[in-house]
Amino acid sequence: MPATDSAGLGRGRALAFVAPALVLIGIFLVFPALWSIYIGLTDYTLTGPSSVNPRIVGADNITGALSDPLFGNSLWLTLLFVFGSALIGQNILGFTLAWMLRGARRWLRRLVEGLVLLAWILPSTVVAYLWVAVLDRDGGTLNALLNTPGTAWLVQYPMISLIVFNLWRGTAFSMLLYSSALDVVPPSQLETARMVGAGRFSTLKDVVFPHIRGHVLTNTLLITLWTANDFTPFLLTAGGPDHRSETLPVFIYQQALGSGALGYASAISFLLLLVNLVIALVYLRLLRRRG
Amino acid sequence: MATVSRPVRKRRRPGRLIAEIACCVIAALVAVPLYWMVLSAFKPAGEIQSPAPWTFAPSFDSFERVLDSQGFGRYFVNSAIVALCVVALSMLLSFLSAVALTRFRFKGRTVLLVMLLVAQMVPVEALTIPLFFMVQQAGSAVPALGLNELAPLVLVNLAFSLPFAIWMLRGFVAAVPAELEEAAALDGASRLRFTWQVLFPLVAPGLVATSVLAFIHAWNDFLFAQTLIFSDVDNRTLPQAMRVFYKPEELDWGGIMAGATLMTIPVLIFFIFVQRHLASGLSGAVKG
Repeated sequence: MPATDSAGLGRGRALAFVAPALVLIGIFLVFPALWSIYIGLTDYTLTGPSSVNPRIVGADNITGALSDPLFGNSLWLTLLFVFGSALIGQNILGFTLAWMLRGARRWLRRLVEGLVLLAWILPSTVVAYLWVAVLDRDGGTLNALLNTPGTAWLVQYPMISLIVFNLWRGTAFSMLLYSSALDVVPPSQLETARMVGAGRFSTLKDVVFPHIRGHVLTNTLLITLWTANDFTPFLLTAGGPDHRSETLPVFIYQQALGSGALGYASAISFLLLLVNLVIALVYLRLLRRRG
Repeated sequence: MATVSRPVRKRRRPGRLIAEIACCVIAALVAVPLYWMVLSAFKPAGEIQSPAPWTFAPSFDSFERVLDSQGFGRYFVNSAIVALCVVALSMLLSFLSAVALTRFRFKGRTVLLVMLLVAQMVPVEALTIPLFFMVQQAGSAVPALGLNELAPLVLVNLAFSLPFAIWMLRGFVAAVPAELEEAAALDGASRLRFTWQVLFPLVAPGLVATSVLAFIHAWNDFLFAQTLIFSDVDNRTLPQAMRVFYKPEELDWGGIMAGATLMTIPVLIFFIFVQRHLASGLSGAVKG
């Protein structure tokens, strides 16, 4: 069928091209995901009688989670984390940086982009140590800079610390994406907007935004999903103190390996997956309305 | 050209200067933790606790301590093996898949593409439990694929880097006009020759961006390594080794920062190598 096969690849070769990747994804991603959904339906634990003979408990884990104040707490913290550091923070800071760097001197542009990117690509274990050192109560750089000796930032303000940290770490992706998106905006239209005396806000809203709408949506989707699933908070605060920075991925990890409640942890990660799915559906809806 | 551009440059608006100053401030803020890392790594033992933002007696003591006593070199090699295998395999497999998924329309293609998007959302923390048992089982059949081996770590990291890589590359393959392929076919170029000699170079910027992300993911991975290499000290990777340095009672900040600096160097080299292509790579991914 030539109409469906523009490159004349042939069914056999197309299959051979795509098979290795799909098999790997199937074995190491899809299969464990399905398995963990199954575990979520049982009372499986790491130790004790249920570790040998787990029983099917159906939706008990889900209903248990919905009435568990710790789950509610961590759902709220996750929303806070995603909203503060990704949806608002990285999006706006990334766009602002891209916008400001557009006309900046070349060396400055290189320098800022290089540093921001560096923060993004460094190993999370490394940056976690950096931030623990910078925020340390005794001898931390931040306390020395702000002259606030004895402030234990990660203990007293755990969520704010995490949000600032994620802003520092993750803005690079939005910045990169928006700088290349802004190249698409025709300079003549910006010039026209300036000539007719359009304010900065209306220029952004009426001239720039329509051109980069797809980029904004894709960027928002990706950073939302990445932030919601981010495990790095564990390396900084391990969810503490007293669950005050326990986002869902950390909560799942603590339930699974800390308390050994494997069934419960799997059920909660299924809930997290559902939340992610809803976000993705909203995104696809918005993207389709583009045309 | 110069005469044309000069008056434009002179007419810099005052807003530009403010923007540039703001950029400098942000650059400085971003740089502080990074500077602190390198500084602490070079500070001599006596100065580690001092908040002074410089040192007059830089020393390699911390680096030597890390390299000598902790088996750092071995972990470094382990991490490098895993990351490089993941990068090479993920470039090859995602390129082939992207070509097939873009150029060949078949029933369920959209579903498959949406599935790749959904794969982005699976919370990996929960998957560590089934993965542990799977690898344990595989190990009883083929020892090299069992727990505490590097091969399964490569496969797991690979499987998790593929969905995004394919998704990204699709945009690049789609951007290559189909007419080009028809022309090549008329010239009598074989399918494979076309794929490697025409398509591959055109998609290269996308492959570069993909490889960076795969490298970063594999090099940085802590969760999978901690799950699959749980007892064999010799086969640990660097992120795990970094956790070993972190002993609450005797925080050796000099050693930790020296280790962190060393761990950063390969990422930095990789990054400098590809920085130019990264931006175009990421944007191409989104247009598709």
